[in-house]
Amino acid sequence: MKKTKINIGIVGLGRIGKMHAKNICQSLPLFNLKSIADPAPDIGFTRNLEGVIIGDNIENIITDKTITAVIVCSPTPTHYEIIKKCVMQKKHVFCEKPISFSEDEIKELITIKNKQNIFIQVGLNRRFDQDFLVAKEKMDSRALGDIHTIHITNHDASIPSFKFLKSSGGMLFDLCIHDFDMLNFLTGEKIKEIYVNGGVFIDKRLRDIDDVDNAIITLELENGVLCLIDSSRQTHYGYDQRIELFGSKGMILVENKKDNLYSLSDSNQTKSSKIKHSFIERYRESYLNELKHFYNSIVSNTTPSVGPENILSAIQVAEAGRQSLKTKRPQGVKYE
Amino acid sequence: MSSVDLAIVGFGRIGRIHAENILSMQGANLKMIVDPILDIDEGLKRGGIQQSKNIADLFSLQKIDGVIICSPSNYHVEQIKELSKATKNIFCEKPLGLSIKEIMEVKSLVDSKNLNLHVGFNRRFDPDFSSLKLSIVSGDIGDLHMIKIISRDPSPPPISYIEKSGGMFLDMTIHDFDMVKYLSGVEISEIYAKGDCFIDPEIKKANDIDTAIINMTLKNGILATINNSRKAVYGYDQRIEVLGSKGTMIVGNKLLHGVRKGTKDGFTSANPKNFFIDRYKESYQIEIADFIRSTSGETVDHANVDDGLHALKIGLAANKSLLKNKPIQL
Repeated sequence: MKKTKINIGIVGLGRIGKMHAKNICQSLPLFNLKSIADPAPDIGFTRNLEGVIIGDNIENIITDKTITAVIVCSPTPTHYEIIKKCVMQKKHVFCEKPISFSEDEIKELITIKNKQNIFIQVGLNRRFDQDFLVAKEKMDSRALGDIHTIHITNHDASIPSFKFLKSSGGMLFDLCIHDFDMLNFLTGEKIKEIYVNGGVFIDKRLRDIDDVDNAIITLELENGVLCLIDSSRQTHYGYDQRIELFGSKGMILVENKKDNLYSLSDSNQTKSSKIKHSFIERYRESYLNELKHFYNSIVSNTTPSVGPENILSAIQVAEAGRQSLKTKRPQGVKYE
Repeated sequence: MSSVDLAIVGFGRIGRIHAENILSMQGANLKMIVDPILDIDEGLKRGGIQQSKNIADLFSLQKIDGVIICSPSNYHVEQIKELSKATKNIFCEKPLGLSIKEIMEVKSLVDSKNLNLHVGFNRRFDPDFSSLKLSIVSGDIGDLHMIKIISRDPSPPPISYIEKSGGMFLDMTIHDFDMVKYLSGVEISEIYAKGDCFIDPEIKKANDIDTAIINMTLKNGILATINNSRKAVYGYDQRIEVLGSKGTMIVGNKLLHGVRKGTKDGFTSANPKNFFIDRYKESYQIEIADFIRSTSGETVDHANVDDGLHALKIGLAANKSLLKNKPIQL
């Protein structure tokens, strides 16, 4: 059977947009990258993209009837309008998380895409990481018996610029949103309650905007499983991404990936490399896998496994987390 | 260094460990063991160690330089008071007491009689953790931001023990509360404890929990967490990580042995050591050696009455937090 080739457009050519573009051109031949929209595209990057239309606004993409799918990687505040336009033109959308900071906007997008019979997949890429998938598979086969606790470690290697931090929605919405979703993905359970204990250690200006750069978060799932997330914006030693699942029959650890596997022992010590520096290196495979899944969903006409409903839940947890940080009390998560 | 004469009160599991360690050390003589339910031990007798069921017999000794109290926790304070009449040097197992009032009484006794009181928070003497502390103090990872402790027992104690233990936070987590203070040098100022009973419903019937996730802030703003379970089927899981402005330090588990095996099914390595007696063997030796040195006049670092008080206060606050499901300020 000949595989259908899907013409695709990318909106937003920042760090992650470039990564998706590169992945499609180099590794995902089932997509044909037809068009890119960015108000100020990086010429050094786009000159290597042969035959791709580069425009400064999304009209090129919206009006192109041959484009059936769009990847949205523009800044979060622009997502809602862009997705709406794409869906109205019957184009399937892959959008980077968190789609929107507004629950109402996400709910509206869910209604519209259902009405239009169009898919929106959300870039919660960690669901497609091979290591986490194996951990989930083992857990689902009850290798750990009953699950008692889950511990996620999620630290960035270096703190982003204050300009980014200000527009990021805050640490809970930007960084920990992945962890809230991961808990839901691994267990199939919703988060019932959240308590956020945070501190500012790295960039003191965060205090002025009610944000933090370090946090220890206690959560309880609806089935009573206790969870812990520890997170910070800067480690220096790399992108610290670990998960520990603990149950009545044992424990699963997913450890960090290193830059390289050498170690050097001398008369003083043994030294090995840092762990991978950023999401692009650590989760390389997952970014390819999520787009393969997007492609398969479209050609088989089945709803992608991760959509706006999932990000909505994660945002509702983040919102309860924000309240907890403010009130210094555990908060129940409101899902309505 | 002149030789010091010591006695042990309470000859259960931990009393025997201390006795064995003292007997293997230079500079100390074990003179007497007091235990109300002790059967005459021929081995001790041959070693010239007197045995008694009555604490008053300690006062008949010609010379006594220090006493080690390893009796059940509810006798600790009463015995410290009594024994302070015989010696200034007292080593007492944790927990020092079971109420704040009791420990405050000990504190005033320590002040008025200038007692050299050591509390048996042995993990402070574990070579891994004392190296970790040294590196923190030396600024190897800059300013401390976060402390993460994983502390899991291999199996829960008998229900009869749990009923008298004061609960998991006072019995087990108390070591972890002290470790947070030891590593940071700072007291805990706020605690949110969440826990449940997942392992054995009998533990719930005894009004206790077996699993907990604890979330804390220290007086200087450092964040800390403790992850507890009464039953890790793979062994005694004791890990610590600290994060600072310049990096991280991690203490992993000590394994039963160092063999790693690889076959067509993958690689296997040994599980962590079974329990505290194996995992913290060296710490028990070092804490008693230090007590002996301090008994003969040297200055050593050790957990004191304020540390005992801190750990108990935090344990009680953890109980309160669990009950009310809200963070408690100290």
